[in-house]
Amino acid sequence: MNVIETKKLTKYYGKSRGIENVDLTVEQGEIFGFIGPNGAGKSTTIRTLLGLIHPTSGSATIFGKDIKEFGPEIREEVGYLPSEVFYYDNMRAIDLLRYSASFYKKPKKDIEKRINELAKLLDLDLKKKIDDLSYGNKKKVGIIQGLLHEPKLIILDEPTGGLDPLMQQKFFQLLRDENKRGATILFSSHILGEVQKMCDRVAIIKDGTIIKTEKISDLLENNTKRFKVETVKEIDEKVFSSINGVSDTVRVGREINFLFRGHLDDVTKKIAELDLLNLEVTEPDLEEIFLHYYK
Amino acid sequence: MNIYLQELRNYRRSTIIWIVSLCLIVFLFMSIYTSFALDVSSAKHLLEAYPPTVLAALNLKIEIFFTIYGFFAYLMTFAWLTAAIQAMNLGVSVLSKEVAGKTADFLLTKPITRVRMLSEKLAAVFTLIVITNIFFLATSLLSAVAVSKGDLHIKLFFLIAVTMFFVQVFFLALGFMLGAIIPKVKTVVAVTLPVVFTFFILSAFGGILKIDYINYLTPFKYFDPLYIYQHSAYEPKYLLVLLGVVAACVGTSYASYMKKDIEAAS
Repeated sequence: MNVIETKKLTKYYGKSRGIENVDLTVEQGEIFGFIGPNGAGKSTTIRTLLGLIHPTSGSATIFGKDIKEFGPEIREEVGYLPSEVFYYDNMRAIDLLRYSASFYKKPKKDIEKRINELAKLLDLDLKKKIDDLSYGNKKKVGIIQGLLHEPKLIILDEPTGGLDPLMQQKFFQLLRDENKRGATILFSSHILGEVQKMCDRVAIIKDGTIIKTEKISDLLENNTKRFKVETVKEIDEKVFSSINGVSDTVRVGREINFLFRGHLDDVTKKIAELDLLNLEVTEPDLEEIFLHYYK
Repeated sequence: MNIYLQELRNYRRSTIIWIVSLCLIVFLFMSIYTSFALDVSSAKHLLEAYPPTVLAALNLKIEIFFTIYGFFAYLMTFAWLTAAIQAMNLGVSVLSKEVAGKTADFLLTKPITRVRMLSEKLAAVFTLIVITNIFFLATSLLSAVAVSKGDLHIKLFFLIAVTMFFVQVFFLALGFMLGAIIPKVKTVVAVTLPVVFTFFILSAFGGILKIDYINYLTPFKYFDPLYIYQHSAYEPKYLLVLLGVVAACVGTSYASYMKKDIEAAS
C-alpha cells in the first residue's frame, strides 16, 4: 500500500512557483528521502500534504485518503517535525506536550508514559519553560511532540538542525525504531549524508519538480564511478571528456578527475592506451551524484 | 474543547487586569455621584453655557445628565472606549498570535479542522467578554444602588450598562476578522488603537455635524442614552446594523481563514 501518493501536485504562490506536477509515492514501511537545495519545493510539498497550504492543482492521498477531504483524520496518524520549532513561550515543556497530546484520540496514560520515556532518552528537562530552552532542547520538545502519539507516518522537514552529533545519532536510532515498529517516514533534507544513512528510496527535487526517484542503493550503484587518472605525461582531458557518459572532468596537472556512468569498457580501453602513474576508481558519494543532477 | 480552555488560560491574566480597571473606573466615577448630585443647579447652569456642539461631541445629554442614568451613561462613553480596546485586542490577537509566534504550524498539523480551531478560539474570547461584562455589570449595579436613594430603576440602569457588551461584541468580531485577514500582525495594539479611535472620533464628528448616516458607521452611536432613557429600550435599527456587522465579520473570518495558506515559519 502507498502511504503517500501525490498526482501532479502543483502549488503556485500567486505567480511564483512552489511546486509543479509533483508525483511522489511513498510505500508503507519505508524511509523515504526527499532531497533538494533550499527553495526547491520540499517544504511546499510537505506543507501541502499536511494541509497547511492548499494545492493549486493536482491531488494527493495519505493512507489512501484525500488530503483535502480527510485532513483531520489523516493528521491523527501523522507526526510532523519542522526544521525550526516554535511553541508557546510561556508554557513549560510538559504543558506544551500535554496540550499537544490532548488533540489525539490515544489514551492519555499511554501518551504520558511515552512523553516521559522520550524525554529520558533525549535527556530533556520537561519542567523548564519553553522560553528558557536552548535551540537544541526546543528541538527535542519538537521530536517528542512529533512522536508522542506513535504516528503511522512521520514527516520530517530538515529535522537535524540544532541537534549535536550525539543527539542526532539518538534521534536517528529513534527513527529506525519507529520504522521497525511499522512507521513510514518521509525525511526531507539538503544534507545528503543523513539521507544516505537513513533512507531506502529517495526523490530528488529541483526547481519545484521531481527530477528523479530512485533507490538509494541504485543511485549509488548505477555504475557511476569516480575516476582519478594520473599519467606520466600531461595529456589532454578531451581523451576522456569525449567519451559518452563522462562528466565533471577536471584536470590538475597530470591528474584527471571525472565521473563516469556507462559501460566501463569504454573508459578502461582508453586507459589501457595511456602510460599510467596511478589509477583510482571509487564509488561517488551521494553528494557528487546529487551535484550532478543539479548541473 | 482543548483549544478553548487553552485560550481561556492564555488570557486569564490580561482579562483580570481589564476587569479590575473597568470596575475601578465605574466604582470611582459612581462614588462621586453623591457629591455631584448635591450641587446640581450650579453645574447645570455651567453646562448650559457650553455650545451645543461641544456637548454633542462629548456625547453629553444635558436633558438627563443630572439623573443617575445620564451620569452613568456619560461614564459609559469611556467604558465603551476602554472595553472596545480590550475586545478588539482579544479578537485580533487570538488568531494573529499563532502566526506572529509561528505556532500556527503546531496547531494546524493537529487532527482538527480549521473550523473547529476558529470556533473554539472565537468561543473563548467571547466567553472572556461575557465574564468581563458580568463583573462590570455587578460593580456598576452595586455602586449605583449604593449612591442612589433607593429609587433606582434597575431595568433602565441595566439597559445602559449592557451596552458595553454590545460594543465589545462589535469590536471583537471586527478584530477577529482583521486577525484572520491580515497576513501578519506584528503588534496587536498597532491595529486595535487606530481602528477604535477612528470609530470614536467618527462618533464625535457625527454628534457635531449632525449627519445621521454617520451614526450607522460607528457603534459608539448605536446606544443613545436619551433614547434608552425615554423608551427603556434600544433602537432596533442600530441593533440590526450591529448584528449584521458582527455576522459579516465572523463570516468573512471563517471564509478567509479556510482558504489561507500557512506560510513556513522563518
